[in-house]
Amino acid sequence: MKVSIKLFASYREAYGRDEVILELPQGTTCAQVQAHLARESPQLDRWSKIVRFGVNCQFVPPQTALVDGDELVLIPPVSGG
Amino acid sequence: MSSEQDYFAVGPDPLDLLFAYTLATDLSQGAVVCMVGTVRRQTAGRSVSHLEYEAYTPMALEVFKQIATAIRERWPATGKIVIHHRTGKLALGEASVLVAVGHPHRAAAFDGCEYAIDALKSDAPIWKKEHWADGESDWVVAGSVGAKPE
Repeated sequence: MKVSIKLFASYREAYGRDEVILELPQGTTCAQVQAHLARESPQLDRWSKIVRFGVNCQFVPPQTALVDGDELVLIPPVSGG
Repeated sequence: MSSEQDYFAVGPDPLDLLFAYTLATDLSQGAVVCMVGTVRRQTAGRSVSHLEYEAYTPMALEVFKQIATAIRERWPATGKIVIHHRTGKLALGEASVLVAVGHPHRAAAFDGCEYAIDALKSDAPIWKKEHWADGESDWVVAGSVGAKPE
């Protein structure tokens, strides 16, 4: 299945881009995607325990399984306002 | 209930307080509380040169909608709600966020406005990078982790 991953703030800077499309096995969870990205970019370790996840613009728990066509966003600590 | 008249926006244009107030006011309301977040020159004793905001706009707008729903659950007579967040590079003194909440009575208007800005800071997918006068910069974390509106 194909999942598009939106990257912002430190994630965007670590990857030098704002979106990554990944081909993933069925049933891959949000937390597994984050672990995969953190292995590739160890500087993202600082967020691994506090990152939140959004799928199709809704907050979801880390263990949520993705389905084909989902748009996943990794949300490092927010600081609007 | 006038949720169809709420106004939510995220974008690079400068914020306009009078515009937000004009959208939020109507004849059923006795008070409109407006909150403006601005860029201050110091943070934790360090001189700031400017800020940079980025947002995941479609989800931020979704979160604003959920905040408005939560406000009306707590203060059902709430009138119009306006939330407008700026993105991009902001100079010292510029406004980064505007919240305006109308209600027949002032106490609930104050409460609703405070709830909105607290919830926005805790949940809206918007990030702030501080650029300091010494040339360094980093994404802001303080105050956001574990910050929960009541």
